[in-house]
Amino acid sequence: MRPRKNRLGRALVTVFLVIACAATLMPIMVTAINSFMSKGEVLKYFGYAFGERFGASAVVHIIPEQFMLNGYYQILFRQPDYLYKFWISIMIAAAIAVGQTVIGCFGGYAFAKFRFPLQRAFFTLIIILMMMPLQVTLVPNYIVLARLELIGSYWAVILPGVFSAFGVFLMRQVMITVPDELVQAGKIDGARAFTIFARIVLPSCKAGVASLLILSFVDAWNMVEQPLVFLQNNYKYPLSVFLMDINSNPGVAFACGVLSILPVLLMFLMFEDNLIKGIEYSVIK
Amino acid sequence: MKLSTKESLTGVLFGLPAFVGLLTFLVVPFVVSFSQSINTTNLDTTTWYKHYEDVLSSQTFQLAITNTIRFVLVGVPLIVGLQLLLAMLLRRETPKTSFARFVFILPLVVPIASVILVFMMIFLDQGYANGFLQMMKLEPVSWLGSEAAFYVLLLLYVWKNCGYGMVLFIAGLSAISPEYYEAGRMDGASERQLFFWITLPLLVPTFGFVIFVAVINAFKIFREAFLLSGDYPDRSIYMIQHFMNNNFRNLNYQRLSVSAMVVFVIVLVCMLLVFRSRRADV
Repeated sequence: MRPRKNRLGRALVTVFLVIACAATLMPIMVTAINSFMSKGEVLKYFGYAFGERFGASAVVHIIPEQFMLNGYYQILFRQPDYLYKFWISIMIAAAIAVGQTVIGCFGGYAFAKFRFPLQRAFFTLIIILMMMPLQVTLVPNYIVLARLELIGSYWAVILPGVFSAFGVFLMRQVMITVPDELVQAGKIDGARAFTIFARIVLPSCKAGVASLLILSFVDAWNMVEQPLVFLQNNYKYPLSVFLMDINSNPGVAFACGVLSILPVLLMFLMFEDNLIKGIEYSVIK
Repeated sequence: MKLSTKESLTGVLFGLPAFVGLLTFLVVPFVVSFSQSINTTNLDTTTWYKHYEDVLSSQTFQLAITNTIRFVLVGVPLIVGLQLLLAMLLRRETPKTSFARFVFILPLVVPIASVILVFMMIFLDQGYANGFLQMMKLEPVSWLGSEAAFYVLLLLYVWKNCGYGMVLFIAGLSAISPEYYEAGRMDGASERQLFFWITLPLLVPTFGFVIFVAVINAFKIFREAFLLSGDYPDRSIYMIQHFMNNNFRNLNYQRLSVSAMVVFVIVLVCMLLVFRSRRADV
């Protein structure tokens, strides 16, 4: 009786997982496949998604009639904007990722391993502000940035991203798990504060650091509202803003989608192990 | 562990860049927002809350708050349950489970604007979902233009964010020493008892963090809702961020600030309740 029950249970679980995986992958796969269709074909079968009146429903059109690279050609070679915005996005996302990680390490260390007045209150305040929707701080941030005369420059987007609460929060959680005895041992050996930080605490947090890097990169890559409001210059907008417009252009929409997934996907593949370890660290208190 | 003043000073020095930055870009803007929510035209003490009166009694605001709370109360348990289920199924590290884990984390890193078209293809009135219904000789549903929109958004929320909590639970599960299970089995416990008496209690801290993340992500669902339906979506998914965004567009900063303060107070109260209950356990 027992083996049979086990086998059925396991079969059901496998079926469930296979269906779940397929459903999860589906949107991405469809985007990828559709990117190889020509504009006419996209309009013919999916026109309704672009606001056209026609477009057959109930007709499941998966395999492209013609395997065309036109979408990619258009967007990569005919419209120079794309590559330019691509590099803008990379620049902004990389700057924010690195900056946020550095600030997060220093700030997280301060919250994790030291006691100073108002520490708890300050940290609680930061956590709550972290949960607020974006629009709450958007206008006041604009005012602050305008006072600092940074509107229109990339710093207006990079600085608020670098000093985000999330970096400090995550690194604090990770650093709390570093045993105090290690820090004490360092002090007994006569190490100065910065040495303890750089030689003892940081190496133990490598996974956390890597995971913060990639999480903040992904966040910055997908940022839309801040560049829109703080840059106010069509030429300076990063890819994420461009992507919102381009979704109305059937010829290149899917190709653009695929191309904007690629860098993030690559980073993810490179850092996957570290990312998972880093996320794990924030749990094991 | 009591630290000397010198230690505290070192701590502050370490944190100084972060503190300054956080103050400038997070705290100060928030204070500015607060000052914008107060009515200062008459500068007497009886009408400073005029804006609050206006907004709190506005039906749009009430709808937005109700929808947001409804979404969080429905979505968070749903997604956390699913994340726990997936984590339990995938807790062992095999090639198959590694692949499955990778698949479920993928939606988290994919820019939503890239794939939103597929969701539109399915859920628009002429889309696949209705096509499927017609094939089954059922009535088509206006997925994005009716109460169903709430469930479509829920689906998007689960699709996008399931992976994160799943990873957190897997980590929490792997931190449970197998000895507990061995001891339990030796005492003759069934799988179910093991789950309820060993796994769940040991997962409580993980639960806390997972729920925290799930709530934050529930607030962030605005972007998906906006991509699907624009500024004024169906009644069932008009959330507090829509309210804020529209007031932002109308340059109506007082209403925006008031709603921000209300949300702040709600979140603060919830967090205090959570802290209070945690301390009671310890």
